[in-house]
Amino acid sequence: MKKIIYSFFFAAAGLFAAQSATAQENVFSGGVELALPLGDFGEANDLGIGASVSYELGLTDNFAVLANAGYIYYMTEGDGFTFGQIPIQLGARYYLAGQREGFFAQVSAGTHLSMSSYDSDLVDNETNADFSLAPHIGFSLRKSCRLICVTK
Amino acid sequence: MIFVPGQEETTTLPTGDTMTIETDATTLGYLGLRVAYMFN
Repeated sequence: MKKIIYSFFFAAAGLFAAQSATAQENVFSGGVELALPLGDFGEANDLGIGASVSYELGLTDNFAVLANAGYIYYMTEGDGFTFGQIPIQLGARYYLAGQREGFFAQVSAGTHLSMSSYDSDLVDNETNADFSLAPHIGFSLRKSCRLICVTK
Repeated sequence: MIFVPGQEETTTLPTGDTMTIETDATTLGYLGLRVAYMFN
């Protein structure tokens, strides 16, 4: 009987330790991005492609805060004109299923540096920093894989 | 969503006259997709 109780105790302690490690784990990620401009922005610019890095600081099994930055290049039709953006944002992410995996909802806020450059010397290049707000939904596969590995 | 405030820009023309361009505040938006690899 004692063995069973001890086994249960150590299993519970191990589970707790695993959950604590999951909650406090910080994750660095690098990704590629597609941006489809909407409305008036879409009339002036075509599809954007880019890359970004993100650092996620886990606070609980469900909740994390993160910072991300990147660069998006927009394919515009005008000759001699280049337009790109550098988004720099802080955000909060909530994992619906816990264990920081599966579906998540996120809100990020920060600034977008919009950079217009022209080949012509007659027009000055321009950089503007504007406030930006971004709701996200997403799905994380990483934890699922990791949990399977740990279980093995 | 990117919130761009209205701007007022005054340019001096070669003739010496000044030209002021005002732009209204606007909101730019894009739909994004990010695929990321998580390092640990």
